[in-house]
Amino acid sequence: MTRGPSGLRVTCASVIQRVVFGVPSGPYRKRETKYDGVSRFESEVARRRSLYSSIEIHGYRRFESFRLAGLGRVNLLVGTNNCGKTSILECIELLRSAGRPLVLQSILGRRGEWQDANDSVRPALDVKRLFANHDLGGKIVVGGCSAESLDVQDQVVMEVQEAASSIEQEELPGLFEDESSLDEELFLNVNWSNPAEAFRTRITGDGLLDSRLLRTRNGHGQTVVFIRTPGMTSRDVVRLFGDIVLTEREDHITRALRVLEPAIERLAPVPYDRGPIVREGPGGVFLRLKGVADRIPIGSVGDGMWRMLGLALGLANAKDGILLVDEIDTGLHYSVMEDMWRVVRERACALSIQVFATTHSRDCFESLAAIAKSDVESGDVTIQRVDAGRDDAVRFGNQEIVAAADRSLEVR
Amino acid sequence: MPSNVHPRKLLVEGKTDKRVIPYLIEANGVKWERCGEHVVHIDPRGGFQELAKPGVIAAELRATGLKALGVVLDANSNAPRRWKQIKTHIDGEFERLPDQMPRAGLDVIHPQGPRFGVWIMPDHTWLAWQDEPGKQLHQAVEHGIFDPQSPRSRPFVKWFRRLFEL
Repeated sequence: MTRGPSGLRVTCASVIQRVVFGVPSGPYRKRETKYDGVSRFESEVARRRSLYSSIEIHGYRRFESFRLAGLGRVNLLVGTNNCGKTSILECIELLRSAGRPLVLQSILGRRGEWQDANDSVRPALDVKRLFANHDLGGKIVVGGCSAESLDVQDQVVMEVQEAASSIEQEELPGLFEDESSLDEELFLNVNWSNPAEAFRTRITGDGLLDSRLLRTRNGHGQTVVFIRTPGMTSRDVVRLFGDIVLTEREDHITRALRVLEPAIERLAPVPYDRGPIVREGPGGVFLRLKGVADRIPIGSVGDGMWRMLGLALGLANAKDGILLVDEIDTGLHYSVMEDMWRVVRERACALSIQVFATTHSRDCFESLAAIAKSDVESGDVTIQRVDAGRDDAVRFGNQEIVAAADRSLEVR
Repeated sequence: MPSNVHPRKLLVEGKTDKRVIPYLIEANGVKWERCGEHVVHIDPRGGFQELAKPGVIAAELRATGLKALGVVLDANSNAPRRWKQIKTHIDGEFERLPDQMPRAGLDVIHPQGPRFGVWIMPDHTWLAWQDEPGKQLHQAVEHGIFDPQSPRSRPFVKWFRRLFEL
């Protein structure tokens, strides 16, 4: 904490204010959508490559108002269960997915916040869960400031309007066949910084959104990769691996996995339709180990390998973007965590990636401290503790992380 | 509560302070042990240099569950200089700190939430400066020079009770 951020806060707040009271609206074009299910979006604007130095959240899930400041390249979020760590990752994902409303399906789908509509092929997303107190009358605002400009760099505003207001009727298909709740029908507006990226769709009075309606948009959101606690699905891994196989980026994947098993000579994805379909957990990738004749399914060598592969693939695919990892230590023994952080920090620096990860593990924090110690002055690593009842995160910079680890202070 | 979470914590220079301060506080009417726990966790840091290492107080101020943090320093025959040294170390943590150490001890609120206080033990109250950090108060007690209820110890006790809300 320095004296600087107070000035920054004013700047950020004022720009967010502008967004709150002057929500950009504008026509949007229908585009062909090809969504890949991993929230992976290609970067379009080079100017946005700088890191977020602070992020403000209003009205999202349990946060009336929350702020993270002094962010670095690698940021570890800690705090008790249900304090909102995953919500913060979601907000960043939402913020970076400009013009990509399908991000709502990713966010709500991961938490199982959907229900069957009139038939089982059309899940209805429970949008009201995103709003503080499940109140559709609220407003969600997420803003991100860069270190360079001190200006709000990106923002997203989500709110619900009544259909009765003077909104022109869209060419959207009917939400639900019986239209029984038509009287209560509402519109969900999602506005990112660029008015051209605005998205609007009908929802029911109960805050349910027909997920098919999300497939009609394809915006210019920036690269953001979200890795859930159980890791990527085998389908995602095979696809992402396929994108980089036989490129220089593949070598980094192999190197990362050798942290756990030095005998790995190479690994390869196996096309999805050739093996049993494994939706969750390890699958779809085989390893070649030194001195072993047969190829070995990745699931045979433990959960740590799956986590490490997910991290390496996430990093390889998040160039100039953001990597979000829920419970980054999942499956990893404490003895390899320092090497894991070394891989994450090295690739994040090399590929201009900002990393946000969560953990409950003391080993995870202490191993990060070992990394922070190797370059105390750089200030590129932070721990941000989310305390219930506080409206800003408690921030530990490199020096504080090292001092806390040296003195066995509790930071979680 | 996990064993390393301490809502009230006092950083002192030497181990002898850890023995004397509870004695002093208890003699002034504050029950030191409640429900099997000390009301304030005293952490001896092995001298000023250890306390003033980069990030140490900043990290302590951010520890989980902290409500109040106190720092007790030996004046080392020059209290204003000690204050200047510790102030330089923690200046970035606070909006504004006084140029001179308040007579009643420092007691401020850290932007991250907890209360933070500094007390500099004046040499004339205890014994003259000794080589071993934290020794003077201890020696005062050992030699029977030090009366825990003497008027001279009142400002410290007052600062302590205010900071830790005891």
